[in-house]
This record gives sequence, structure tokens and C-alpha cells, in this order.
Amino acid sequence: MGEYFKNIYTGLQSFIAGLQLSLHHYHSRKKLVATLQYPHEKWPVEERHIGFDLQEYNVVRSRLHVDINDCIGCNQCVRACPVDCITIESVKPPKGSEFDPGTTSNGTQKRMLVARFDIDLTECMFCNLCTYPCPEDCIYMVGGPNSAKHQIEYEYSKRDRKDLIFRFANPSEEEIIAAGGADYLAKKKGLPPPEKPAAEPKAKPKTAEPKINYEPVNAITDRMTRSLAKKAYTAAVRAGKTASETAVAVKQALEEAGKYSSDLDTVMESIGKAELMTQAGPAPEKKVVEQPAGGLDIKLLNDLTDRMTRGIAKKAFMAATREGQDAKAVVRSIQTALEAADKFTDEVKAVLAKLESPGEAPVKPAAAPKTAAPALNIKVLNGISDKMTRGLAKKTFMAAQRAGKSPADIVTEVKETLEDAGKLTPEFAKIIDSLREDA
Amino acid sequence: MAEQLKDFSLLHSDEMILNMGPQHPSTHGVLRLKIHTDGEIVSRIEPIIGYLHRCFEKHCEFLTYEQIVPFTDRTDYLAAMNMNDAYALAVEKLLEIEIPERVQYIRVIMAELQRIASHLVAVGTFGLDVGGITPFTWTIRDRERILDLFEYVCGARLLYNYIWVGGVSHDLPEKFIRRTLEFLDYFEPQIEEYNQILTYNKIFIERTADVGTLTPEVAINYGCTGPVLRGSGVKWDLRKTEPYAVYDKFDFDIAVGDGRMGTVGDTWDRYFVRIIEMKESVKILRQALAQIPDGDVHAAVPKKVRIKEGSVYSRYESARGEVGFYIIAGGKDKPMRVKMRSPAFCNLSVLSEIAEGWMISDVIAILGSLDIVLGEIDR
Ligand code: SF4
Ligand code: SF4
Repeated sequence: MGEYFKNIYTGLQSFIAGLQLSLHHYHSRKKLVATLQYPHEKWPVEERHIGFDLQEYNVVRSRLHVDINDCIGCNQCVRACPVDCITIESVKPPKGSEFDPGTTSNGTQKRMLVARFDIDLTECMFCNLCTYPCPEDCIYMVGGPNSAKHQIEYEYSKRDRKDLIFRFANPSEEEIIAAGGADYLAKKKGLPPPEKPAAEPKAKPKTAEPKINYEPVNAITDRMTRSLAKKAYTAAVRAGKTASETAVAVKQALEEAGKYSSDLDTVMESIGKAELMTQAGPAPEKKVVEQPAGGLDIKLLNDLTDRMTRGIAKKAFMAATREGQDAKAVVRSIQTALEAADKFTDEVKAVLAKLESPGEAPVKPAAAPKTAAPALNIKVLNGISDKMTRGLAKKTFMAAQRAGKSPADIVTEVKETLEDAGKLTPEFAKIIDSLREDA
Repeated sequence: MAEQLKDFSLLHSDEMILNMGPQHPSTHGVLRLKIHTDGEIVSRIEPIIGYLHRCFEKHCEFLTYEQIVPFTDRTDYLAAMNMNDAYALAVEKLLEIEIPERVQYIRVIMAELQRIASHLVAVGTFGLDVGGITPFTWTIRDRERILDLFEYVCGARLLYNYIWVGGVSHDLPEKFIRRTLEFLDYFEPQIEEYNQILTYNKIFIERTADVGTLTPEVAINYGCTGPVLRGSGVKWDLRKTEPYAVYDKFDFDIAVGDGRMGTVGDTWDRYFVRIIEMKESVKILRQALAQIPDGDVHAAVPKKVRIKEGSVYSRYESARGEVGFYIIAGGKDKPMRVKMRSPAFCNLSVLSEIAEGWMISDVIAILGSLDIVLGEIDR
């Protein structure tokens, strides 16, 4: 009985204690209220310098932002990201192009044009890891209550998920083409063959247009100065000025930018003496050579199955054609190169024979498998249970077939190869023999 | 007072299987409990997990050591700082690098703040489970202040990626120490309020005292750690028994259950251990904030973590118990294998043992007192 009343008593006590507390909180609600009227009120968070170079950095992680004009496309942020939500594609201007991607606000000369810089914020987990390695401090988190400082909207909430893929780089097509990115553009649009402009710049420097000789300007060590000098130099050369006139023009441009100093005198002198254009001497020749030289087709060498052999053969081929040797001499030099490397096999012989007499040979391998070899069915080899052995057998089979060998030869060759490799068991030999029976 | 049924042969009624979860407010996440009941009495519980599995351990094999840190955040999302810290500790052990004193202190401060924040959620939601809504709003309100402090430090409120291998991502801001002290001054009296409204509330005691008693033997056999183990009266706290970082410099006690309201190791004890632990954390925080030395927090951060060969198991007392990281390094900048020992997983495994013979409504109280986080159980 006493227990019963005691329970009622303590129950009442705690009930009253709870009510008292609630009442107390009711009276002091203004002081303790935790809820903010969110869109109208925002948390006050002090700004602070977080200890790395970016003075303006705001530690609140609301959204990533990229100052794309400062980005050099170094891909450091991509490598740091654990979820791969940054995509960067950049176009590197070909050597000698006068396209200038500009400099960053730190004064770094950019090497390429960042054609695409997407951050998929649906995947981003706001870990902030990408911001630290950036050499230009151009990728950072913005937003939050201090967004007034950054003039960028608050939470970046969007009505459609698609809008959460932020595209920071937006170069015009002309810019991309000017940077030599015609190929890139074509690929992006899903056009399989590179458009005409893509083919042109490639062909051009090889055929006629003489290259501008940048050597004297490259002697300038300061990056900023060099890029300025190059610009002026290019313009002067294009305008058809003589060497000494060009030197004067470059000097003038640098003086205007306040970058000229007396130690550049020697450079100017060398510009004054330099040949502005490297005459496109060997280039046109080279072009002719690279075309099927003397009627030889390098593609035929692709028939070589062994990678090493193929590489050596191709190298020798190129060297020989560049020297302008005739077909026979080319074949011979390939042969000597391969013999030196101890790679000269029957297969190579067959291929070389084809190479030498392109008239008949290329027809042969195309026709041969259709007439003679189809009698053999490579699928039979699938009966070989060991994976390694099967691969080897098939490889030899194909090579032999391509070389236009007779079925009997193919079978013996496959067998021999396996034997050499120590893989020929009676069981496998039977399968290989059955190649012919099957036929 | 609730009573545990010991002899099932009296009833002989049909067994019924009741599904609780995965969408159930009292399961604290996507946990499904398959409860075998006899009438309203529980005879067996099968916890079914895996709804939140994200292949954390497999992911780690494809990420560099630094990149794993944000993933550890997402295991125990209520104590993300603790997880960062536990992981960093393991890798540093493998790297054998010396961590600057200031970093150690910052980590202790963050870990203790996080422990308070995590226990606040545990206490609040536990109150919610047994029917008290007000304490929940209060604890969440105070937790917000801790999250503000975290935001002030590193810009994030829940998943921080703050503690790095070899250091922390940024130094403490100028006013951080003052603001944390202000918070502690505000917070300590709040604990008394929780006690008044929840801990010593008669109804609460009736629901929790003597319910779901976990004996020390069973707790140890099941590998329970953290407040669940200490609630059973076992003095085991890695901060004291195997001090890491600078914990040996602070004066604090291990909170243990003493059966004040019923038997040792009952649900109330497990709950109350967390209340005491919050007080102890405040104690540690005050000492750490007073002693923190100056220094460079980036001094020991390696440029690129690359570990030759070797493996390490490192244990860490998080808000939920012993977090272990077993890392095998394969000579690359990525680990070959990372295994995480999840405290909540072991704590959950004991549920069937202690809930047997209690009513379904008691199961909710018992589960609440285990304070599980599914993000960590499933990983
Ligand atoms: S914040 Fe983290 S997840 Fe987001 S883009 Fe940067 S590195 Fe990737
Ligand atoms: S790290 Fe910086 S500079 Fe480099 S690509 Fe990323 S944003 Fe651009």
C-alpha cells in the first residue's frame, strides 16, 4: 500500500517538475529559441581566413566555384576528387600556333584552352579535397551566409537535377578552333570524321607554310615578358617585316608594357639577326615520303603477329623510306633489322614478300582464306581445354592462314609452335589433327 | 512494473512473426527487426541489416589514403569526427609519423565535442522512443550549437573531412576557444535540465529500470563496447585503458552503470552512462582548451601518403564504442584492404539476447538504449 502511494507521489512530482521546466522555457523562449525563419534569416557565421593562400576564401561549404579564367587545366583537382565528379577537357594549341590562352591572375602563362570544366554537384560530396591542390587557387567553395562577399546566390538549389551540373568553361567554337581544337569539336558533336578545318591545319604546316622561328624570343626567361614578346614578334613576322624591323617592334611592345630591361638587349640583337622563318625545307619532302613510298604500304606490316617484330619492322620501314630507298632496298633493310634482332621467321618472310610485290600479294591473303584456308575451321581449336595453349594455337593458326599457307602446313605449324612451347599433349595433338578431318 | 517472462511453456500459444522496419521511426535508420512473438512477449529477434550497405571497405581499395577520409565520415554520420580521427590514427600508426601536439589537442577537442553531440542525439531519440517529445527538441537544439562550432571550424555541419592523415585541414579560428568555453558554460546546466525532465522522471524510470538487463559476461561475450558495455558496470574505456593521442594528460572518470534505479546493466543504466559521459567530456574539454599549445597543424601532413608494406590494427573509443581500423598497405598510395570494426554492429547483435521475454514496447526502449547508427553497421 505504501509503495502504491509513493509511486503516485513520485509520479506527480516528476510531472510537476516537467511542467515547471516547460513553463520556464516558455517564459525565456526568446533567448533560447533555436529555430530561424530560414529563407528570411540565415545563420550568422563569421568570416575568417582559413590559413591558406586564398584571402577571400569563405569556409562555409555551400557550393564549388571555379574562376575559369585562372584555371590552367592542370587536372590536379580531378585527381584529388574521390568521386570523380569533375570533368575537364582541354585543347592544347599545336606547336607554333599563335593562339594565346592568356595568363592567370597569378601571372602564370596558360598552356592550353580549357574547353570543358563541368562539376556534377549531384555527385559532389562537399569534401573540399579538390580545393587544396589547385596551384592557382581558382577552385573553391562559396556561398553560405557570407555570400554577399561573393555575390553568388545562396544554396544553389535548382528545380531540375540537370541544372546541378555546373559548366564553368564556355569558350566559343571559334576560340576552340583557333586553339587547334577542331578535332575535339568534331568529336564532341559526334561527327566521326574530323571536319575540314581539322584536316587543314594538319596538312598546312607540312606542305607550304613556313614556320615562324621563335628561337630568339624563347631566350627571354621571364614568362610574362616572353608571352608579350612572342605576340609582338608573331604580328611583326606576319606583317612581313624584316628582322631588324621586327626587333624594333618587339622592343616597342615590351617598353609599352613596362617590361623592357637592358638585359633584353642581347635578345633583341639576336632577333635582328635571326631568320624569322624556318624555311619549310624538309617538310614537303617528308610529306611525299610518308605517302606509300615507292608503292610500299606500311599497313601490310600489321600482319606480323609478334608485337616486337612488328615494331622493329615498322621502324626499319620508316627509316628506309625516309631515306628514299626503293622497294627492294626497304625490304632488305627490314630484313637485316629483324635478323639482327633474331626475329626473322617464316611469317616475316611471307609478309615481306607481300610488301615487295604489292601487286599480287595483298590480293592473296584476302583471297587465300576464302579459297584454301576456309577448309579449316578455327572453332575446332576451342576443344583445347587449356586457355594458354588455346590462345597460342589460335594465334599460330591465324598467322599461318593469313600467310596463305596450305591446310597441311597450317596444321603442322600449329603443332610445332605448341611443341616448342612445351604445350603439346597427345590430346591436343588429336584436336589439331582433327582440324583437317573436319575440313 | 514491467516483468520479464521466463517460462514460455505456460502459454503454448502460436508464434507470430512481426516485422518492425525497415521504415519504422523507432529503429533509428533502415533496420528491419524480425520479431518472433508469443502473444505480446518477444521470444526471439532477428535484426536484418544491409539496407544501407555502400561497400565502404571495397571503395577504400580504389581510393588514396587521403581520399578515404570523407568516406569514413559517412559510416557513423552522427560521430563523423570520431571516425575521421579513428581512421587517421590508424594510418598514422602505419606511417609511423609524429603528430604535432596542437593537432592532438584539436583532435581531442573535436572528438569530445562530437561525443557530446552524438550522445545528445542518443539521449534525445531515446526519450522519443519511450514517449517523451520535449527532451528531444532540447537535445537537438544543443547539438545544433556544437554543429555551429564545427561549421565555424571547417565549414561543414555533418560530414567534416576535417581530421586528415597527419593533421587537420585548417587551424582553429581565433575565437573558437572562447566560443567553445561559452558553449560549455551554457551546456552544463542543460544536462541538469535533461535529468529533471527525463532521467528522473517517474514514468521514464518505470519504462527503463530493470528492463533488458545486460550482464557484464554477456556484454563481453558479444563484444559490446562503449556505453553499452560500461552500462553493465565494466570499467572499459580505451581513452583510459589504452590511451591514444593526449588522453593520458586529462583527468576524467570512466562512467559506469551502478544499478541506481534497478539492476546493474539495465536500460536505464545504459542511458545514464551517456549523461555522465557528457559531463566527463565537458571536463576533458575544459582541460584541453586550457592546455592547448601553439603550433603548425600542417607540419606533419605528408604530401602524398604512400605506405610500403605492413598492416595495422588501431582501436579508438568513439561515441558508440571501439572503432577499429585494420589496414593492409600494399606499397601503393592506396590500401590493399581496409577492415572496419563497427561498434554498433556488435552492440546490435546482443539485442535478441536481452530483449527475450520482454514486451514489444520494451524492445523499442532496449533498442534505443543500444544507440545504433545504421550507416556504421552496414557501411
Ligand atoms: S568537394 Fe570533394 S566531391 Fe566535390 S568536387 Fe571537390 S573533391 Fe570532388
Ligand atoms: S586544380 Fe585549379 S588550375 Fe588545375 S585544373 Fe583544377 S581548377 Fe584548374
